[in-house]
Amino acid sequence: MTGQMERRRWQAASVVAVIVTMAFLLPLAAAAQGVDIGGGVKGRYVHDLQSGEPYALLSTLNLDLETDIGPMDIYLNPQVSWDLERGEAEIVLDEGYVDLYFATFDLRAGKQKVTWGKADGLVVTNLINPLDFTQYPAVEFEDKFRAVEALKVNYYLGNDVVELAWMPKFEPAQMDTQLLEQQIAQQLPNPVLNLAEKEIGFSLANSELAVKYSSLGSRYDYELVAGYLWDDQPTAHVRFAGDQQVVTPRHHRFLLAGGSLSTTVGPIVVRGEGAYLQGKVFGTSDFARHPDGTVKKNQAHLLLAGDYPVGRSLLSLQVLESVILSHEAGMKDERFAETATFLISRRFLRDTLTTELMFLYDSAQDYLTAQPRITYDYSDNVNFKFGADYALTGGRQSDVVFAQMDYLF
Amino acid sequence: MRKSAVVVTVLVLAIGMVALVGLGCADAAQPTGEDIMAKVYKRYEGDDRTSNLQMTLVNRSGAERVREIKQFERAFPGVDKKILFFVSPRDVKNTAFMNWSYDDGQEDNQWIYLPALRKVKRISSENKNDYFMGSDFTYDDLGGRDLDADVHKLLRTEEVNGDLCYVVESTPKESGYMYGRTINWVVKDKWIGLKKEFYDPKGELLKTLSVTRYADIDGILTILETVMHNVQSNHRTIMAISDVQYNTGIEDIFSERMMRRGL
Repeated sequence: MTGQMERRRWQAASVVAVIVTMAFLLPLAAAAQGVDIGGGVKGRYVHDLQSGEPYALLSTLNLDLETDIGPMDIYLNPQVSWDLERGEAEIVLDEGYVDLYFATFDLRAGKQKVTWGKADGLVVTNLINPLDFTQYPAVEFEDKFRAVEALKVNYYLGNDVVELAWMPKFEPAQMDTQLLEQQIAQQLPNPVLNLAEKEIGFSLANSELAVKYSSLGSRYDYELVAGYLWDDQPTAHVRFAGDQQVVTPRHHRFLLAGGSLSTTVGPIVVRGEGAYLQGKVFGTSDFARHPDGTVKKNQAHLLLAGDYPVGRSLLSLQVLESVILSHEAGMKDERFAETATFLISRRFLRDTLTTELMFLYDSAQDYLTAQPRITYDYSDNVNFKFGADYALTGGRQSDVVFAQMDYLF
Repeated sequence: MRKSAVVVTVLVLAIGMVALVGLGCADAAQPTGEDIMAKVYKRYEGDDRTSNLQMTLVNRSGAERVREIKQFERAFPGVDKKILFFVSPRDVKNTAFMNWSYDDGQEDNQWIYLPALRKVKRISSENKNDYFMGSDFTYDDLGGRDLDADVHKLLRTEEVNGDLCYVVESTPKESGYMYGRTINWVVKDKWIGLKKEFYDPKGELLKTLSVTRYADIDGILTILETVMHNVQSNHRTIMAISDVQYNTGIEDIFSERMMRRGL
């Protein structure tokens, strides 16, 4: 055990040494090639409060490479990460795309992140990028969403924009397969998991398409969206084979129509967002009516939110109501579900120290968590983050505390 | 006896009238505090302006942090638009801030583009007492305050660095404002503020603003360097402006497209 710990320490030291060396040498090499380079090195330690054991020990080197060739801008964001606790290493191109700019429209092609809607953190119409459930706790935006390969065209009409996004290859939500198996086992006795149909084949017919019209004006800003998308979280189809239940997770399509709006009422920024999902597939235990354990329904989401600044503090409340239309008995999801967030944040020491306390309530999972965060900018290049995800009631995952250091270059 | 009394009365009246006329002339020569500040607020600063802003934050121990911004401003009919692109340091690079300020008194519109979120967010503009990017300048200090928000009173004239200045006291009309009063030193006939003192509501000196460099660029007097010193916390912020260009015809930059696209 001691030898294993020692080996891990050496591995950690080696990886950190390689990452730091690259962080210093790459900018020099890139500058010589006319590439604008930046990025950061991140070290994150997550501690599991329930087991008392380390949960994750993550080192990441993140590079931002930018160059322009004539009217074309190229951006690449490769990442090298190593989780010493889990023994996992990953080299990914987090984003990588080409931008082309014209008089009235722009085009972006490649792996990218696209954010729609006015909600902060809660998903209503922001359905282009798949969610990432493998990163816990979600310390930054990058932890919550994965980039997707897309062709995005923006056409400009003054301050109004028509944005068309075509995703040729469907990317599902990133989920830990082991966690998925555990969740299914909790719902069904003696299941056999069949992942054969989880992947969606690469074809034109399987591509996704979405469009957004957005306007930014003196009184209010709004977005109208529509799309033909895949549900990035699969539904479990059940087949009985003797005394076993074969569970096949499968993704389904739905139609999206929705919109969002933000305006100011006195000092308060009021935000609203709504979505109507037609043909979303849900799980059910009413096998008499639905032999494979799924049922297709329409679902509506409505979010109301307000941000109230008070000096250097901000109070922010978001309430999201979701309803399944024509709900049936036996469905695994309730007819109504509420999600709410309440955030109090304050800046100190000339904005170098930020404290946040966010509460997240989810009626469907029956949990209330507290997520305190402290961010301290020690210098322009070095900052520290400390925080916790702590379940006050319920809870899907472990209570954790974390510490993170970022070196930016 | 009666005759001499009449003469005295006539003399007194004559002297009084001369004195009154003289005083009237003096009033006409000396503008009021309102007039002076109106000329400061309405001084022509070009139809549009592009510049680089370097903001150096100095703490009480002398440690410095530098922020670099590229800024674009234009006066449209009824609305002044401004967009800032943050160039450095790394953690704020590609952040953009846009402000639309209306002549009719409508509250300003403000948006911020946060590259980490890939999102343009509308933010409240009512928090003008908040400090801009951790500096010693509030949003109001940077030009967000209306002329009519204060009562302006001429105190005296005095020389500052060889320039004859009007010294004008401005007292807020609303209660609860972060400053109890400000005192401005305005260069006569140039209508440019050279110095400003900010007093807290208790009457204690809070901050001093000094213009350390200004120049004539394309016929427009342009402030190139200012130092804001918070005397209570002993923080300082130096704002240096460079590469100033006037009337280049910028028009389409004040949009969501440019906030996302950046420089």
